[in-house]
Amino acid sequence: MVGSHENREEIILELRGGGHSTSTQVQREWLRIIMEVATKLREALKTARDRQDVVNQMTRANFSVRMATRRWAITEYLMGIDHDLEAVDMRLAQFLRIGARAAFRTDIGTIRDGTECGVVLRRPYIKKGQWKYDDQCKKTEDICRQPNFFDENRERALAAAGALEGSGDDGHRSMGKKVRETLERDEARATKGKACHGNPGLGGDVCVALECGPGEILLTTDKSFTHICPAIDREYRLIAA
Amino acid sequence: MTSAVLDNRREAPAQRDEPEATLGEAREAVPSLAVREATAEPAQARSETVAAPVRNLARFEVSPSATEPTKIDGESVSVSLAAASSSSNRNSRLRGAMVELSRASGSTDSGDWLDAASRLKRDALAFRRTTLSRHADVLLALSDALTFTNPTDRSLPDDAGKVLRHGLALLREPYINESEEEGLLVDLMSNGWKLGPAVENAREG
Repeated sequence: MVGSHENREEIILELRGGGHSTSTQVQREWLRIIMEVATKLREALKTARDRQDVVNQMTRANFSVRMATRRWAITEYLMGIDHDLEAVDMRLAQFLRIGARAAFRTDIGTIRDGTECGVVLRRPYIKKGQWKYDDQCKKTEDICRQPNFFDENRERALAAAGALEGSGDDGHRSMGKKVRETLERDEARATKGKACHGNPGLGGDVCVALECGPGEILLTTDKSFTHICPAIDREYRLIAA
Repeated sequence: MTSAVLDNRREAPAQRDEPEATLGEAREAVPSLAVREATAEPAQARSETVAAPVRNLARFEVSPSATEPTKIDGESVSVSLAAASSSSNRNSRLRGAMVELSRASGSTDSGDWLDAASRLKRDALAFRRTTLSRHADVLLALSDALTFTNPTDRSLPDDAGKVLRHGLALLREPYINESEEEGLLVDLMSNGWKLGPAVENAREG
């Protein structure tokens, strides 16, 4: 969907033939990004009279450059070339219903679920007449086995944290520190909730890498894996973002 | 490590083993209105025929009447016939869309694809709030695929039209379930078809 033509083509060709794996942690993040925009867009279409109205509504709030870019890319994708907002609404309804899930599953054979994440099972819904999507969980909810997953992989997770803390990137160092401090806390639910889905959090990059099996190649555009994967003896291939 | 692995691979719904669709075959296979022709049968038998609420689920054939028994009186019959006319129009329109889709599946000309895309989208919008709403969603997805994919894309397999014929097979059915619909979307995207425009990342300053 986004990225240079060369990168998109490279990823498509790498995944050709299927049989590849990803993680519910990736799916959770994908849905968070996609559904935030899709539900906002569906709301915007209720009152928009033309495409420009949609543009105005979707760009109204202040965002970081990265978030604004991402939001607009997804909006453009969902609106297509249509000035007929009926067509956009129709496409969007299908996207919310099955399209997002289908897009994520494409060329993927297995979605690994070491943490049995309950957030990925959620669907957009209407509350008080407005479309909503709940992309986060709380420590107090029992909808996953994430603490068990980290118990089972504690040594490897700490190795990954150490490698991140030794990187030259502030963001990676912060992630590594967060992972290590959370794992060292003697509390059953320490790794859940915001510690998992927050930024930085345990539930993303570290979890994804831990779910990889020996002999597999982790395909990514994220440089954090250049530290994590060697620390846990996993191969990776970095596609330039 | 104990890892619960979800195997979310879903086989694309068993693609109907259809021979490569020709325009003639597409015309024959499209939904047809099962209009019970008046015969020389006794009136009672005739009313049963008109009232038949049967929906043939094997192939898309629509009876003129819905579920209510139809009496042989002026008003009831005219309502039934009006419904039949509306249904007949939809069937005819769907037939036309499927002919266009069949043509596009056998072509590698971008003009043919865009022509078909335009037709499919118009029909999708027309069917949206009818009993063919799921067919409408499938038509829109196929329209998008034909709009945003270039026949020269190297991500397409040699027989790019095979997936379009998968869509055609679904459209022949009287009912398309959500699983089948999702399977078509996955099939399209897995075979290099694009369902939306690609957008370059803006570079941060």
